[in-house]
Amino acid sequence: MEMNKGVFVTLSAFFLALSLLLIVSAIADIENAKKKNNADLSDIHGISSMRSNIQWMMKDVFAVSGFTYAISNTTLSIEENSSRSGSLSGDLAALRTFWNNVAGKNKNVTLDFESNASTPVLYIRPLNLTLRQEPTDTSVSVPSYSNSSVLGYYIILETSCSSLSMQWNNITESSAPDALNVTVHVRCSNTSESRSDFRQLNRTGYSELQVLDAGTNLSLITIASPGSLEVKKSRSAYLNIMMPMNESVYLEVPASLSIRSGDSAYSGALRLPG
Amino acid sequence: MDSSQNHRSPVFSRKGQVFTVEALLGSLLFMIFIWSLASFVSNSKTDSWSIAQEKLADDALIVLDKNGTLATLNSTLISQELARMLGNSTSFRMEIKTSNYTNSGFVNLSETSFGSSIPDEKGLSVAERGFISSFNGSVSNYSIARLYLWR
Repeated sequence: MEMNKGVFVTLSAFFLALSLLLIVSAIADIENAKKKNNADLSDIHGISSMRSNIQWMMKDVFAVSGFTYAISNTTLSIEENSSRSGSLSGDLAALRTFWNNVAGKNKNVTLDFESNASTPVLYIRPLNLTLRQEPTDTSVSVPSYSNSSVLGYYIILETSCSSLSMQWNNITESSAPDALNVTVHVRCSNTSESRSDFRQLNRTGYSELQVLDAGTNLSLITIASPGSLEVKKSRSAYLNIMMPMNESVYLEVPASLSIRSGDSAYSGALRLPG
Repeated sequence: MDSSQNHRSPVFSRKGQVFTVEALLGSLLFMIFIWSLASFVSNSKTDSWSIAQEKLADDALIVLDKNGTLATLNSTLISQELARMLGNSTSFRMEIKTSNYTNSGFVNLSETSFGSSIPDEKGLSVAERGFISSFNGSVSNYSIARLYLWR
């Protein structure tokens, strides 16, 4: 009887010790999983922070080059001052080297621009419009499958001039509900002179407005099917184009970005902050 | 009187010793259990705090970048802004490395650091942010700011 009691007590003690060890081991597992989660969370936060940093630096580089933008609901507004002195392509190439070789070395950052980086291009997503921006030529290309995405263009052009005039070399107007509303406002920065015109254009036709200063060409604004816009300037000027769209948009740089930190990674397009 | 009433029997004596040893072992096991729990809980708290502090460092750098303070590279101004944002309970050290892009790549222009000395102990959080400075319509400098925070 005494012997049985001893065995019972020993077994109880053994099972108690075993259960305590199991509890400790279970808690250790939970804590290790929590630690792993925290490490992953920290990696994800680091990647997200770096991605946001690259996006904002990209926006700053564009702003330094004289190109700024604002997105308000469904309206995209771009501003461009072609009197800048620096090279946007050069600054973007330097930014890529900065992230790939200097700032992002520890997080394996790879930033690559698409092949034709010499012509600064931005994509207007999700409508897949292309915004090309050069010192003398700014254009918005609309693909045929997205032909009704732009509701109109409100263009402001400001430069030093003396005697303004505007003439339509070609025009295809429309009163249809899907007509493209185009407003052009040109003003001389050195005088108070200005000219304005508003037309409802057929988006599948071709229209061409010439802006003249004392009889010489200052700018050529063309609307081509299916609603694409091109603004050519013969001298440095401030240009503002407001584009109401049929849905909310964002700008994307033609570049691919990949960041790796620990077990987490990001790979995708480079969207500009709104 | 019976002599067995004055002296405990060897069986009872051994039984007492076994109970004492069992009680000691049990206490030891229980203490190990409690110590393990306490250690896990304290480590877990440190991890959560470290993540929160990392976010705080990141947010502080974003604010300094967006309000243009970082680009001034003025240590007094940056320290004042950080002290205002972080309060007295959090210490910091800031390191800013500025480079210039040339045909042969990035050339180091300056390295500056200010704030308290970094302690050796645990609980240090760090955040980094790149930013640019411009001159005459072109990017002149590329910098990295590294902010260390601890309590």
